[in-house]
Amino acid sequence: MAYLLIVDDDEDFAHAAETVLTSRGHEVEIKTTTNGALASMDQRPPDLVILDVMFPEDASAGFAVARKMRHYNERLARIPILLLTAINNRFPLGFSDRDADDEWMPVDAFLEKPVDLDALTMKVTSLLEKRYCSASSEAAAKAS
Amino acid sequence: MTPASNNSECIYELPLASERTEQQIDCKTVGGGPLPEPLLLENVFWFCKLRWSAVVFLTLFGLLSLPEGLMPRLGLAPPSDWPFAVAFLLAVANLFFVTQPARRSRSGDRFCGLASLWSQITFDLLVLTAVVHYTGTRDTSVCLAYLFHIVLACIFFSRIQSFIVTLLACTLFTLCIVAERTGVVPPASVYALSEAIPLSAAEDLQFIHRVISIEVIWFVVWYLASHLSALVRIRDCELAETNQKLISAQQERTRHLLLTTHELKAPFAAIHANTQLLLKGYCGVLPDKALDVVLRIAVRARRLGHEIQDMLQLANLRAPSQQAQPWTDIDLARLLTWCVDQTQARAQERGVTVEYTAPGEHVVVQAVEDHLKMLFTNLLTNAINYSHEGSKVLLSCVLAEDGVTITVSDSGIGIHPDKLPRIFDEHYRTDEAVEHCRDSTGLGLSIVRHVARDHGLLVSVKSQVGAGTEFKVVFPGGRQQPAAST
Repeated sequence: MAYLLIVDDDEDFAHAAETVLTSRGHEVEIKTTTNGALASMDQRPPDLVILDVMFPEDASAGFAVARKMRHYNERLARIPILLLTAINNRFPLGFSDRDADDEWMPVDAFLEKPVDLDALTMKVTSLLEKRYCSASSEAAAKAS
Repeated sequence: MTPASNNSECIYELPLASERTEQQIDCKTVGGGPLPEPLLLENVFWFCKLRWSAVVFLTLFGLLSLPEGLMPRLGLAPPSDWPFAVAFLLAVANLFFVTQPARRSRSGDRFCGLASLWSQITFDLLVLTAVVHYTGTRDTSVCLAYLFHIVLACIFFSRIQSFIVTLLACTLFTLCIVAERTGVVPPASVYALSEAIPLSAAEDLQFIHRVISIEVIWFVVWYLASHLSALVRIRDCELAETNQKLISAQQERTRHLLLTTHELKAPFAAIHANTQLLLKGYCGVLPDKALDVVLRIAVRARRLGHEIQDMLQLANLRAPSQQAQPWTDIDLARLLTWCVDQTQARAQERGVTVEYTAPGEHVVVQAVEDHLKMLFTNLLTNAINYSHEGSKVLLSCVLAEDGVTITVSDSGIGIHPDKLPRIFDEHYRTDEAVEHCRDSTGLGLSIVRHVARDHGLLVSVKSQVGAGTEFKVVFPGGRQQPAAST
């Protein structure tokens, strides 16, 4: 099972997600600020990050975390990021999966709040599987 | 939505207004100054084009002297080469001025429109003085051509600079007259008999008075033109300022809308997640009565969430946007598939099947993609909400000669004919609709109306109580095209 980090200023939502993910056997940690999340990741890199976008400290602090992970920290660069936010793909000025790119929104998947908790666990499982597959194929390539 | 980054520190932006400090411009100062550099650059080329007409005019005038005897018959002086010489000089200079920006660009130097216009006007005044001399300072009114440059200087330059141009014109004209009168240069004229008749003392005095009055008129013209030009420039600046304020207000509105969306939806996300914990047994088994209460909370929270979203979408569609979303070519079949996918969960929940018949051809329409998604998702959701359990919602897209027609039909509760005209009103719901499906906001069809209006789409609805409803959306001919086969 995996070590997951939920970065969300909405503790009510974060704890609900934690309850479900913990019941699936994952170890879950919650951080309600982006600075706290980055510090925590430096101490112990998670297997997957569930990340909100808008924080009280900055309306796009979630993007900042994603980019810092991808572009400025070798240890964190390959950790899958699942973006969760209330700004949705039905809203004309929002964003969706199609906007995920390496530069602007370097995340692996996007889910819109309110999210179905089963959909969340399925997405987490698929991202973790993808990560383990790529990690094992890299290890095999190195070994050969 | 634009990415933003720099090499040292990342700056992250949501697709909302960045809080930047606008540069404050004092319009009164702008009114007294020259035109902004980009406008001056445009005028450099315009001024050069204007000069070509002077070259053509002088060349044609020179050509008049070629047919023998023509000039005397017109009462003009014998043939002369000066028009050709001046036209040649103007043409060479004009080529120099026209090609100057490109040459500067190649050498990496910055091209200054103001300096170029200064040199052009100064050069023109010198050449004009020569033309005034050859045509005759006493006999013709060519000296009035100085006014062109005075007025142009008032448009291009600051008031002080245009005053200097006026002063320069007066000086050159006066010097030309003084040079002729003191014999430094012999007087010239285009008229044949002009030199033969010497002026009387009274006529000479009249000529001096005329020169003075002409120069006074130039200064009056300078005053009026520069004053008007400054007023226009101040007005332009004020308009630009107002425009900037409108853009800032629009950016602020967008920012506010996004923040409001987040602030209003986030609590519902938390409520939704926590009710799921209770409903799915993560917190133990609940008594039936408690389960029922939690279910009600969940339904109500979801409905409020949808209502907030619809209200925000509608507000966004109603507000005129400075940063309108771009119209792009959209593969309609793919977009409709996306809309069907979006509504699948709702359809499953209500026990309704959505059947989609894709167009036989690949159809591309021009529209704002997100708005079209809103339109068709709302029509499908509407059809699903008012269908009976176990029934079907049919979605089809047909390319006909008069345009593309998308039809959404259901065999649900239908709408009474008297109530049909009101269904696109905000928050309007028929009693039958409320009874059949409480979980609806009454805003979906208003969103459809707004998107259809903005895109010039024809929307029609046909309904029979108890039999179902059919919505047709037509993209009028010319808006759509079969996509190139790939």
